[in-house]
Amino acid sequence: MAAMAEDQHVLRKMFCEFDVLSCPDGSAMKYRNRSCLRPNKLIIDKACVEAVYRPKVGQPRVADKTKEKMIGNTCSSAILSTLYPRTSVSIILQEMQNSGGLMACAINAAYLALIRSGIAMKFLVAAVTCGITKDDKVILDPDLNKVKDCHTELMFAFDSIDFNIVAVDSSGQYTEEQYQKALSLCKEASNEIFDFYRNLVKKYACCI
Amino acid sequence: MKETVLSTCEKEFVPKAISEGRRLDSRNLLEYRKLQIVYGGDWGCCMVSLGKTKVLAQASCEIQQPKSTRPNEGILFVNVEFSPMGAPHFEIGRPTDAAVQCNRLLEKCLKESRCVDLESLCIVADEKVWQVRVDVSILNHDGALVDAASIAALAALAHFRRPDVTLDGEERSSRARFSSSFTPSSPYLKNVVVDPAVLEERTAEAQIVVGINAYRELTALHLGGTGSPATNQLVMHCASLAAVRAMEVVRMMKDELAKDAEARVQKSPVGFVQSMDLEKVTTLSHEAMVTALGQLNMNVKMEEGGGDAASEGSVGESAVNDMIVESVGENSAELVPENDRRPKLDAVALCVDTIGSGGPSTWGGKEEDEEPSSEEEEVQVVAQLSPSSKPKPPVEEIELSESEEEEIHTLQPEEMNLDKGLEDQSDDEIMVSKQNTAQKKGRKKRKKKNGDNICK
Repeated sequence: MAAMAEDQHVLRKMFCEFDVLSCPDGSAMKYRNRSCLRPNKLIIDKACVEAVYRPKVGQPRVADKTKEKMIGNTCSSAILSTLYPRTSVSIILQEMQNSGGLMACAINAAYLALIRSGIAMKFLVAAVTCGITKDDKVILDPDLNKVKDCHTELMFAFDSIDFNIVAVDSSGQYTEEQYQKALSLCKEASNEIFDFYRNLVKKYACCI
Repeated sequence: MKETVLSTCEKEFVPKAISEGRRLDSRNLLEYRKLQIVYGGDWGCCMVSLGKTKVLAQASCEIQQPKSTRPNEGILFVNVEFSPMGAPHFEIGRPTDAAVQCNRLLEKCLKESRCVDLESLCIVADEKVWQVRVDVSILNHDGALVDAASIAALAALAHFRRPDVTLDGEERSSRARFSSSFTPSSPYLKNVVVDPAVLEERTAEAQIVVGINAYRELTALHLGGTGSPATNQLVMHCASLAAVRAMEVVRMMKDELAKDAEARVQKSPVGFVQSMDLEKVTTLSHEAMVTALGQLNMNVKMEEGGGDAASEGSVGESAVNDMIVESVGENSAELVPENDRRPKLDAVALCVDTIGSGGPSTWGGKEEDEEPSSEEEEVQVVAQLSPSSKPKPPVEEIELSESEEEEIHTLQPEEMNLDKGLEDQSDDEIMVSKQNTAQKKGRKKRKKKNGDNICK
């Protein structure tokens, strides 16, 4: 049973590549997403943070706009926007491959791009997806095959300091107990993503 | 955001260099940049990079009613998106002239070359046909967008697999046949330059885009710009250049396609991840992690995280007894816990470990640690602090945040007197060395060190 439980609590392998693009200020390619950053709009006393999410096929629809808004809100909560008056921070995300957990991946990619661009932030954010299967098991980071078994998908984003929830995205029905279980599981997994961020910076910091 | 304006220097220099047969990236006039085609994990997805230009293409399909004029033919739709990711001056939902032009050219090329057999896309005449859609998005703009976009679109089409459709229990069509191809080449007028980078593109007099397939059939020809009108010979010359290129590109595309097909047969992983160069310093991969859910375990972890941040942020009073003052370079010291004295090289890693976990910035203070290794030998234990006897080290010694370059040290009058009594030479030395500021700095420091020794 223990072995089985372990099997279910696995975050898939993560990859990230910095500096893929030459035009924007910071870019990061993370497994399924790619994001980059550049300034655009103007607010006099602080920075304007906006996110653009582009699906791979066709024009962006309502669902994509929702994602955009959510990523934008999550990012603007961390950026110290008063440090950058008359600046606009655009986070542009291009879906490259969807194998489940797209939303969480998008948020993580956005933060990696922000790290790379050197914008001052209050904290970092790591997002983790988990699904609740039909037999009430909570599985971490389900891929497209496993998503079919899940009736509910939950996405949590945590900050790096107090591990408070920054954003939650859910679809489907769940009980409070299931929610708590999923929350604690994701919280633990978010540590791993912060480690991933750190390792990236460590690796990158040594070469500059 | 507006496109950055070209400076006069650039406007003059680039054409002049080209007239002398030189290019900014040290290519020959007729040399192409490195072409890379990577197929994604999904069918019909590919990324093409031509030098720094990067383009992503995805082919998809859906069932639609055919056009009334062509009831037994499928529809091919091309959509080129110049997203702001490519360059800051591209805007969403407002295609630039260049974007529209690129879209039209691509559509013309793909349709004229008949690389997609549209009749095979018909399911039921006049009722249902496949509409094949190719979405091309520009990820990075560094010139020759039409080239890269066309290669990407074609590669995506070649890689794409349309689902088989069964109608009334009878299979009507098999897989679509995508054959042959074309590739535009965009050489310059006057001095013909192929595959221009963004600067060359913008300073060019005119541009010719030649669409040609691997069978040397011309599918599109576009002449743009304000330059001198193209002569017959020039167009022929460009077309023949493009024909050679087209064959190369198609061969490469087929090679990559074969590799991808083989990998899929062998069930080995495919996709963009495989194309990442893990040896690069900017790339990191992370093995799959396993967590066993335990409430207790988790709480401990959280506490640890908080504790780390606190200890890194400020050294509390209680922690002082275990501290050792370690001098890092000249005129600076650092409080280090006795049980936590690590080799200097770990220091970078140490401050990286606390990234994102709160507390004041640790980067400024650790700057000295990143100095060359010669400093390492100079690290010495200056004094050991204990709660019973608290020697007061000179104030400037514990300033961690000052980097060595910015340091200004003023000699106090009493210090001068002390020194005078001991060594009279040193004052003269200072006078002499005023000519050379660097030397002066070094000597002053040395003098300061002497002073410290005396204090002890």
